[in-house]
Amino acid sequence: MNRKEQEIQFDKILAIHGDGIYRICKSYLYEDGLVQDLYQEVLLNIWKSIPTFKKKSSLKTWAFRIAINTTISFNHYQSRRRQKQKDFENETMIKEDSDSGNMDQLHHAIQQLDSNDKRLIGLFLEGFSYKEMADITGWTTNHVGVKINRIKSRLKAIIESS
Amino acid sequence: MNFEALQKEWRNQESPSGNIISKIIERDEKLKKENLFITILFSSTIFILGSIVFAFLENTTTMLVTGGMMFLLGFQAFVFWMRNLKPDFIAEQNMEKKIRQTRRHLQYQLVVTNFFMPLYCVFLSVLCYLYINHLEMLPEEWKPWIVLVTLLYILVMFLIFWRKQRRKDKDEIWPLLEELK
Repeated sequence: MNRKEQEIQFDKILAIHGDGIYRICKSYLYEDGLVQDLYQEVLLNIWKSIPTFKKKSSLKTWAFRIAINTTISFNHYQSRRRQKQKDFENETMIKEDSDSGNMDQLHHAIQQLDSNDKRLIGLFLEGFSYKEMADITGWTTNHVGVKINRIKSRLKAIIESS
Repeated sequence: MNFEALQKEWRNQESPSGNIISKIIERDEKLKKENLFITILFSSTIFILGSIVFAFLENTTTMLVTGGMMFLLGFQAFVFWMRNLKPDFIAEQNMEKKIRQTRRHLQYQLVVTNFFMPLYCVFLSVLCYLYINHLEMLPEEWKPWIVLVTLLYILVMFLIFWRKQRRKDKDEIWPLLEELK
């Protein structure tokens, strides 16, 4: 695959799944600066992986698998301390409006879940089927279903108690 | 609580706009250059150490010590290469496998700090000691002093790096490992 084709493919992924990937990053981390660091990291991994895409799964599953896997190895402790890449944030990104009340509440509640649950609920909110989630996580479909139900109850309890 | 309504609202959130692609490409190029630099550094260190031993020395102990060092450096270079130049791993693994691999990697980093770094230091000290003692061009009475200064230098450098690494382990590696349990 040449550079031009790689760019076209990357552009396509960004246009179709960019928002979803960003929301996955947002479900995993709350602070805006960290979310943007993570988003950049995910996009970099997608960019590097495009030439090795073997079409064993759909482009969507593949891209979100990279996003989920990047959250695992992303060192936000280091990132928090590191000087933020201001040029990336300031020059190329126009920050979105602040969250609405419901979303803010939901984000706060998600932050109280453990890491795997955060990743899973992110996929659920994105509208992934249990089978797709099982493909991304490596768990069985039943296990994913049970986990999602538990996470939903937990989120409900957190939101109601707050 | 209606999760369907929440899902809809959730999907209304948009990613930041802007010229992301050029920044990503720029960062990729920069990382490639850094990878190349570190790989060259590792390889040249191994090559230089090998050359010193096989060109100037015939001492079996020194050969073994340098061989050990070269092996450790080579192993580290291999791990580094695997981690940085093989992006398809991240695309092909599922979450379970990725968690296991990341845990192994973090544990390996702890082993580097607590086992490999002291071992490097010991290897390097022995190598310097043997090498300085072997050099015929140096006057005999100077040798103990040169050895002493060299070992002290290695010790101080080791302590500086080791302390820095230990702090990093405490602040970053252990919390990440805890999170991946």
